[in-house]
Amino acid sequence: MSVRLDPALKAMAIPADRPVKLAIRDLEFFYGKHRALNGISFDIPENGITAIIGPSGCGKSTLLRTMNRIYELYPDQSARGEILLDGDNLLRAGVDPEGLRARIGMVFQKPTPFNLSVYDNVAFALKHYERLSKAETQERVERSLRQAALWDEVKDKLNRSALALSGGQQQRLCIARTLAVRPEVILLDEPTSALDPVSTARIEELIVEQAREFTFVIVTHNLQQAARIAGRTAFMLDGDLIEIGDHDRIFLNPQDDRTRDYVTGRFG
Amino acid sequence: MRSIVRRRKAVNAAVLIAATAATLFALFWLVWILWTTVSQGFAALSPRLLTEMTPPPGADGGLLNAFFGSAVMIGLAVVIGTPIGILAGTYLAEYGRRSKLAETIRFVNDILLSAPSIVIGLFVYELVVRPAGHFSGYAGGLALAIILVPVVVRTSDESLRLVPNQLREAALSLGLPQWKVVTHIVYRSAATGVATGALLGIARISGETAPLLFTALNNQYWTADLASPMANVPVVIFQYAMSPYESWHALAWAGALVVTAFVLALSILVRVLLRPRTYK
Amino acid sequence: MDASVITQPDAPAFRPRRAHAATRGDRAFRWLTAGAAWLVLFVLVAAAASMAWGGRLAFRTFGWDFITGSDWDAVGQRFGALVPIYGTLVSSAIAMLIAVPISLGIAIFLAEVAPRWIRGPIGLAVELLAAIPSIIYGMWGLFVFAPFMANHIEPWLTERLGPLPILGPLFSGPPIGIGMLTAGIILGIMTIPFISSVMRDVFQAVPPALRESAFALGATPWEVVRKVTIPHTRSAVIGAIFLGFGRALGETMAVTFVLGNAHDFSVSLLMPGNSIAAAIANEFTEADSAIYLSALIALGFLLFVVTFIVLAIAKLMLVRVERKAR
Repeated sequence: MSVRLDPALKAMAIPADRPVKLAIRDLEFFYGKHRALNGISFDIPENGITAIIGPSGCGKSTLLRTMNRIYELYPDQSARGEILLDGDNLLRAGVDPEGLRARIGMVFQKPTPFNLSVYDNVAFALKHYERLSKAETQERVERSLRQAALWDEVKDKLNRSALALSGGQQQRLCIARTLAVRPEVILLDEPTSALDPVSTARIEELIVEQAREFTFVIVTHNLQQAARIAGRTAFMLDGDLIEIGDHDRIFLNPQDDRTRDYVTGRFG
Repeated sequence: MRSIVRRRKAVNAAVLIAATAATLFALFWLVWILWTTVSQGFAALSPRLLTEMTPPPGADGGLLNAFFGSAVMIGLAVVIGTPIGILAGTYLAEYGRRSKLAETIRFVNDILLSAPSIVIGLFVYELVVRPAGHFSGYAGGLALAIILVPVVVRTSDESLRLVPNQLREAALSLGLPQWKVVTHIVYRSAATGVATGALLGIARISGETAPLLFTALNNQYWTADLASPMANVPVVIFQYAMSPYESWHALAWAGALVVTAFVLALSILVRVLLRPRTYK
Repeated sequence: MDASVITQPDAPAFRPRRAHAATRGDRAFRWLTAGAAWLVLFVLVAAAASMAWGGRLAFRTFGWDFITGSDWDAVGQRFGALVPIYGTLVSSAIAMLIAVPISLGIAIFLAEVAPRWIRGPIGLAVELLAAIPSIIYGMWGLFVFAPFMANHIEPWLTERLGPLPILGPLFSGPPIGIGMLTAGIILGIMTIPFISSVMRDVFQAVPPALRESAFALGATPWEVVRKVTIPHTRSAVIGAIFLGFGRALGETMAVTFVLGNAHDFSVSLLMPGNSIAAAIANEFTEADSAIYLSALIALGFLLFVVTFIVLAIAKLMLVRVERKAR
């Protein structure tokens, strides 16, 4: 399948010479005693889309789950090293995880709508962070749903249960509710792997659209997806970062044999 | 060779027939007990059950004060026990998880679940009745609450653990604090299971007699005063059934029918509610 | 990363818009739930402690005689609990003799015999035996089952088994229906659902591959149960039996009606007896002296300790299977 994207749009989404938003430094990750990341370092620029690819088990999801410290839910998991968000290490002690996650949102592989109405799914977290009037909240919900290209489909059923939406709609709802909190970075963990091609295309479009305002980091095992939407792509293997670069570097002219083997489909 | 096969087949058939007979044996008692309760209870049912108080020996009357007292004490037990049970279940499922402390509490909770209820009555007697110097509805409600809590703890723990972790991760990833995630998102997904626990608990305490014997005791008259001894259906059944008076026996059967029907209906309702055990 | 940032736990970059309220709420909620969880432990310890305290007078006055003595004399204020302890153990043992084979049969029936569509309803019906309040069992026992035993079963037992050399004394005496045997049978019926539902659950958890490979070797269903299912679930089956035993030991109302509240020791299962729980239920509100009351509470303490041990063994056996399944 293919998605036709306006080339101008894509160019706008990835301005050159952007400042560094997230800097990963010597990051190691452990499941109990097992080491899943072996000291990774690279930069993620502000706005645009950075994709992380690699065969399953290479640590790409682990890396993503470190960036908003969601791994801390599980006592046997731990991270060492630094992830600098605008220069400040978000892994250090004393960082409030809620505040961090309000700045770095995350969307998961399977849609995770709350057992609430469509409207409340979007408004719920919003109400926690900002004192908005009813009208302001409504406006923000509508705006987020429009950004997620969902408004037209749900505007007549805002008070119905979100569980009644289709899988693709649910996933866009999850993106809308993340956008509504206005984070700076949005982590996407294989956001379309459970969806049909049409839904996938809509989500890719909306991500590219929103990449002018937000920094997206997407983990995907779909190479075409990374090639279609990402300005920069990182290739990981067995807990190591093998190579990182722009579209042409990774997909047309990889420097490392392992990257070449992977993007040409020789393994993984 | 062939005779061995035949023998094995025969043994197998005998065992399977015995297994079927064992099942019929168990069902036979269920039918017998229910039949007795229904036929005796129906014969004794009358509108006076709900309009008159428990009578003195040999006289006619109803069970109004006993029904009221039971309802009040069960209500009190639910009000005290359900929040505690849900909170403790929340700790086990959301915070404790597989930690040593959580596993210890699960272990103890399971033991309390099967512990003799008469012992809980003695405990509340020592804790409340003896210091206060008199039996009371409060003590009865507290004893029932202590029996209800382990039921709610266990079902809450189990149904909260059925909520997929992804939902928690998604909610936390919006920057919501954990307490809000649990109370607004996770509870909502586990609502059926948690409510089932409360119903199961009510079914469990509705027929409990032993823990009320020395806490609420009994009261021949109407009282809404929780600080005084309180009538309740199970203890009335106990005293009337043990008495030599026919009219009291009839009232005991009527009460038995009502309690049994209520408890069985709740138990079946719980089963129906629990059947769709999948979470979307 | 310079050190100054690390030493400031609340650096502005990570202060959320409502940080303090959120953390405070989290801490409060966590403590609230932890407090409720600790309450469960507290109840167990406090119940044991309060009964030990309440029974201290009896324990101090009678020492070991409280357990080994068989005098239970409210007027003379001498209390030895051997008769109720013996009654508790014997009635529960009779219950197990009935409940264990029947429960095993039900579990085999549900696993190997019953067509799939009938398993749910039958399982539910058996579990309803556990939902019937014990006072109903007691009342039914007193008005229906005890007369039935007196008229039909006990005369037959006395006639056939009474003359036998060793068993004889167990089945002698007038057929009055009230007594250890009747109580034991009712307890057995009551514990069937607890034992059979655990057995059924663990039988169903046996990996299908194990059963199927035995069937593939030509084993009959009974051989599969005996050689595969039961060995695989042995500790859970033992756990289920202990669970039922623990339930039977502490059961109060059902046996109080049909035991007869006798304090004289008698060998015959057809004679009235007593149990710890029944003695407490019958006599507590009549206890008119401090030592009498203390003796009854001490009985409660003994019952609690014994059932705790039995139920703990049951739980440990069952946990072992859960671990294996995980």
